[in-house]
Amino acid sequence: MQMVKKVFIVILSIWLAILVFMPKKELYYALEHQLEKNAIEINEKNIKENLFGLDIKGADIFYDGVKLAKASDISFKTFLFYTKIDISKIDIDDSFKSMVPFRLNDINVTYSLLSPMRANVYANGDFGDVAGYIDFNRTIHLDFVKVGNIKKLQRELKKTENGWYYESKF
Amino acid sequence: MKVSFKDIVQFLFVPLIIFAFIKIIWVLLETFVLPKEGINHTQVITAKPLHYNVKLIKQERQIKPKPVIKKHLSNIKDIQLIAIYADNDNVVVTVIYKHKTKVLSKGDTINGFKLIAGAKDYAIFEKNSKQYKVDLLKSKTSYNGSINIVKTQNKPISNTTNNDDVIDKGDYKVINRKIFDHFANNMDDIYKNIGIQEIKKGNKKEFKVSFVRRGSPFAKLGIKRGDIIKSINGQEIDSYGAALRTYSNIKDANMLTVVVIRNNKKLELEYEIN
Repeated sequence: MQMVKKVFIVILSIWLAILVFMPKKELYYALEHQLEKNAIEINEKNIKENLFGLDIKGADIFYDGVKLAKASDISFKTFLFYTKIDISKIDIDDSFKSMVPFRLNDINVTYSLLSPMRANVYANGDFGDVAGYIDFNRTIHLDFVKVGNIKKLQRELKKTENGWYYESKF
Repeated sequence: MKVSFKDIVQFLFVPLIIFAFIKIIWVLLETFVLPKEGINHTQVITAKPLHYNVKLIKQERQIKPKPVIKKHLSNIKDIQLIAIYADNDNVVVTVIYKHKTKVLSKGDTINGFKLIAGAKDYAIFEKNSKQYKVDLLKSKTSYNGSINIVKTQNKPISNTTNNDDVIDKGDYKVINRKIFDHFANNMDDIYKNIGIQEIKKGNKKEFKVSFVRRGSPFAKLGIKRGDIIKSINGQEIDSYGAALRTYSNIKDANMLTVVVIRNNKKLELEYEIN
């Protein structure tokens, strides 16, 4: 029993030390450098670290040098075995409103070690609510759990008896 | 059970060692591996400003041209003025130089002559502090008169039929403003009429026309399957970013110059939006 207790304390200490001492800002910068290789750039006004993650305020998102959107809040949270990214108050740049014919409010992405090959996605906007996953085998699948105004999106969607869904390979 | 100080130290010893060890690892990573600064987006402008839109500075218009030397120098004759658009702020001309059609906005230079001003039927160029007047070519050629954009813009746009989406005027084509605005605001409809295929060429990308729907406005524009789109209004189309930038800036354009590669030859397609 003493042995089990000691192992538990060691594991808990390692987990806590990794999270608490993690240089979150620098890791986020490393993520930015990785995204830049894929032509995605994020310019943020403010980064604030907290115990289990960091919060980003006023992030302008660029693709290939062109501003696509502004996200007022991006929040990263990690417990190592479970990670969550919340992007809220997304405002598509005026120039691209004709290309992105819908309003996007929030996107939540969660990743769990229990399903290591996929990240779960939830988003809502004037198209309704979608929930689905990004498979690391390069597939996106999104189910419309609550259908809003999808008129402009319909040609990209497929329908089954369970409702509308979007699927794409990238 | 009494907990002594020694017991507490013994209990915390291992966790503290772990904390110290992990902290050292993170500090080393932070110092030697991880970047200390993020990426700050900087706007890279590689494109020539759009004709008719960007390079037209209001204040420049107020500068009255110096007395005009009507006597043409030999090489100013090489420039033939076939169309002009001039209002209070803007001067844009279409000229023929060495059998090629060029669109110039105020401040642009051709053959060393800088376009500085214009009126309804002439343009004024400057070279070596001397000014030269070039008259608009009259309608004996196929270029019949001024592109009087201001007037035509103010006219109500009539209901268009498929036949007047694009009017062929010989060296250039006139695109119906209504049709142009529709495509400028509905990217999806573009892809119903024309297919663009991305071709990677080193670090850059080329955009090749994979199909053009028969009878569509794009077919009338003279764009053909296999054309590689090199630039639009001076903006080189070599990345998605450049394509998106051009698309987002194109809405207010009154003229379009599309450079394509067709059968290994560079071809310049000129359009007026009216």
